[in-house]
Amino acid sequence: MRTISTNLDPEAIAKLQGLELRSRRIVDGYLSGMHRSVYRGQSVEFTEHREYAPGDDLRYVDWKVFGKSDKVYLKQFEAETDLVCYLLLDVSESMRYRADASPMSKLEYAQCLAAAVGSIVLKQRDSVGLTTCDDQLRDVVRASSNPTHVRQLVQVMEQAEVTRRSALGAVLDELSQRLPRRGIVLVISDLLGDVESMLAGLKHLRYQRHDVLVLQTLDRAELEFPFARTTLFRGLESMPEVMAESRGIRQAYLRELHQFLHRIKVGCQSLRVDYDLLPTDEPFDDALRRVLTHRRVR
Amino acid sequence: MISVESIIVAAFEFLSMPMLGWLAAAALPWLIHRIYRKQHHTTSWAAVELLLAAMNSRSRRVHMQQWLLLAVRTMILVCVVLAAAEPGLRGWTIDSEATSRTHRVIVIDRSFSMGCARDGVSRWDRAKAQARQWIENANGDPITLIAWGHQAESVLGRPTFDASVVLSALEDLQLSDATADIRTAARAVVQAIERCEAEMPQVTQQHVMFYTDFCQPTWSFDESQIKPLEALGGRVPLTMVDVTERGRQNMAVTAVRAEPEVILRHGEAKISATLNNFGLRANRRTRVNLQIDGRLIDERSVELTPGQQTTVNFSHRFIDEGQKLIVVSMSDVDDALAIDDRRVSVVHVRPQLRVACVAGFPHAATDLARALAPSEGQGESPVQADVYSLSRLAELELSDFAAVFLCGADRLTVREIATLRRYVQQGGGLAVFLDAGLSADQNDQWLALLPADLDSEVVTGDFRFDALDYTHPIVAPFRGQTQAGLLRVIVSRYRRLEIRESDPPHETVLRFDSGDPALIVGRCGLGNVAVSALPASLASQSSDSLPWSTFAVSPSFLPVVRELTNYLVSRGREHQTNLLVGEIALVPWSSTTRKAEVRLPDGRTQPLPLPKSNEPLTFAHTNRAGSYTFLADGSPVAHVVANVDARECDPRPIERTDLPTSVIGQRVSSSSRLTTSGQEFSFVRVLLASALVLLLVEIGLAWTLGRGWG
Repeated sequence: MRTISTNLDPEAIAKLQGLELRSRRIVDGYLSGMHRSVYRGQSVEFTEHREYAPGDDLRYVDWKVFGKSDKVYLKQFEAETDLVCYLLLDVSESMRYRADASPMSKLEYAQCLAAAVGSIVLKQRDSVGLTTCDDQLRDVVRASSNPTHVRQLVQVMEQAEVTRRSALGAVLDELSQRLPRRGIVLVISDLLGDVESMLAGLKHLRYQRHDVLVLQTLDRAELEFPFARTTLFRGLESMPEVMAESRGIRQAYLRELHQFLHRIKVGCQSLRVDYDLLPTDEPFDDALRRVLTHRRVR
Repeated sequence: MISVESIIVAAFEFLSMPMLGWLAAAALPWLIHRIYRKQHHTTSWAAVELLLAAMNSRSRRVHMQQWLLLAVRTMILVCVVLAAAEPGLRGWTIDSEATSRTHRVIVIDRSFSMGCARDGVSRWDRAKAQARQWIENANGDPITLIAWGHQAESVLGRPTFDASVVLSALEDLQLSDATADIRTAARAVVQAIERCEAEMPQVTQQHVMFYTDFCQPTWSFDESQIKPLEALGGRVPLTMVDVTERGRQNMAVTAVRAEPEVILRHGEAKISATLNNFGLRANRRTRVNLQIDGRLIDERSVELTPGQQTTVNFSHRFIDEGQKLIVVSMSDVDDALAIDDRRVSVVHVRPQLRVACVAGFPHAATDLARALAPSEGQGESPVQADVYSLSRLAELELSDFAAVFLCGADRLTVREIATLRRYVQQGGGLAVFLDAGLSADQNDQWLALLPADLDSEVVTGDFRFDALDYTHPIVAPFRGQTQAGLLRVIVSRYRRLEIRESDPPHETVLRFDSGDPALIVGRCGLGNVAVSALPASLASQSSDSLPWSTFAVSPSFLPVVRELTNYLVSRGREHQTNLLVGEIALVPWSSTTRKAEVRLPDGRTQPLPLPKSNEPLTFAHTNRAGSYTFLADGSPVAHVVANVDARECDPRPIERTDLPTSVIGQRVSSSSRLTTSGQEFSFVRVLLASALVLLLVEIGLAWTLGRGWG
């Protein structure tokens, strides 16, 4: 099996220089970093006024307002804080799929993405954590901003067992309850499974006010169904075998796939969750550059 | 109780049964499908739920499409194989209650063209084989077998339920050398059906099956002649089975003629034979032989291109008198029909043409006799003209004379009339030159002998002849010979004649410019009678004794009377000796004969009933081509030859468009053989067209399936 280090060649990493993972929402953090904090504090960025309450620090009273209106208001400032990025990596059996023509499996591609994002986050001195999952949460690596933390992430990803079914909805539910503080949750999965439960899980995360980003990795064969002959499809994740006249059902499959992707996309939009589809034949650095650039624009 | 519900099952036969073995190839698409499915590609797959959803929405449709495609491919192979097996409609089998029966009428064409063979199998063999199959599938249905040739008759007399009897009768049937007459077939079929309806009330359905080669003489007819068949076609299924073979090659001797028409001993005769190549390829180095009385006289070599007709001329001087059998035959011929490679003719060689000129009054026949047999120094004549007075007529043995000329004979006794009648009916030639004497109130039997009604009136005036464009053979030699003076003959009086209707019709040879006939000829029995509105001499019985015309002394008189003589002689007995197969032979007969027989072409001898006095001997069964020798008390007295109808030598079937629409437009079915004869309907064509359509459907279906229905 190829390792993540093999796939993460230096040239690809070099291409990611200068990219930042910015939070689109207010997150809380311990360190003063590049991200806005929900805690008003030591910052030069004025946010709002608030009526004085007994016990408030008088240093923040806006005397100009008091002079004009004879009312005591306190100035409040937005504090910059560090970002915590939680990576949720799907290691269910379906992620193992790789067509003959594809350069890597979906899992390998997802691992590369996770490692690259981890590197970026750590480089911008934020914290990154990792959770692998299939039908339940598997390995959990706590968030850390230590620059060497990425090694631990890679090690955990490489040791993941890829044999079980996925149940992303339940996993997201559980994850939302276990995340200690708000941050960016990056879900990397093929999302094959129950869409409704998955969306319910995302909703739960959003309820916890996490900034959620979903990256769906699919093989090109899954997107285009290029088979021409009668084919025996051996299902992963304990799914049954299916014998099919490929050309005869291709259109129907593509129609089903389109509906499936459409439901995910619409569901994510309604939850204000960023969503991107990343085919595994697209260089992951290009894909990541596209995702992050796009995100910064938004 | 007769069930009204019956299951009608079409039954087919296949001319190339071994080809049906290829039907096994119809399993090929299914086999390939199975193999293809076994040789599937295998892959692991993550999005199985999507695949299953797609399968659920599409599986039934995909399966249907696959089965449809397989069915179409199978049908293509089946159609092609069936077409190669050359299917033909064998008939209908009626599976119904025992009380419901179909009367099967089999009409099998026996005309000689059915003998056309290719690769050892003739049309006749094919027709019998197909008829045999229909009989074997009769399942107890009554069957009528009609042998259809010059005459058509039910072979067994009435419908029979015993198929083995019909099969036996079918096997015994032989080809005839005659043509087939559709009119007789129509009558026979109608009779058979009416008889069945009358005698077999349990028979509820009828079906008529014709096995024929659609040859030209058989199927060229006026629609009015087959009204019974048309009426039948409206209520009884008629199936026409064409048994013609593919390709054709036939050469034939289609005519043999001897000239002059009256051949005299030591006279030079030209014998011409007409040869036709009805085939599709040239026939090289064909030998044409002339035999006379069994002796080879001459041999020629001819080449004929396809469709070409040529005439081969032989010259021969006959030394002996009497009837001579001329045979022209071809050798080294590779063709489908042998019977028309030979043609026979009989000529009568005479020592001299002896005629009797009977004068009703002195000098009445003088000019005529001089014209027929000029005295020495006035020219040579093959004719010996003996002049007799009318009073000697009863004493004469008229059979010694080739023709009798009656000149100015106004009164005849009953005995003389009977003698003349017998003479003419036995094939003699009689010419009557009228004068003022013969009146319209004469003996009816005498007047009935003439081809014209008489008017008592003698027309006077200034008249000339009208030769009617010289169409009649007697005056045809005058065509372009204005110096002969026929049209300059002056006529001041003539007896008015009115041509009498008859079958065959009498003919006007010459007429006056007034429009009245001048010379009429007509048949009577085996002989011919001519009547002239003018006397045969300048002398007349008129009260003023003035001549009626200058005809008797004009330069045209001699050729007219000689051509008249030739006509009377050649169209008399000699004409009756050359027949077509199936025509009735009439032979002059002596009343003293006690035993009459005929020797057939195959050598067998058949006794004949003696005719009544005056009547010729009649033989109606000239069913074989060849020579028939008539024997009187054991001695040969006459030869008659019968030849095949030359029109039937052309083996091409009639075009379907030439068949009467009333027949084709009705419930007429055809077998696959119609394909080869260029007919419109064909199972082979239908099958091939179906295969083509299915092929297009298959291409479209496969393309659509390949695209997953878009």
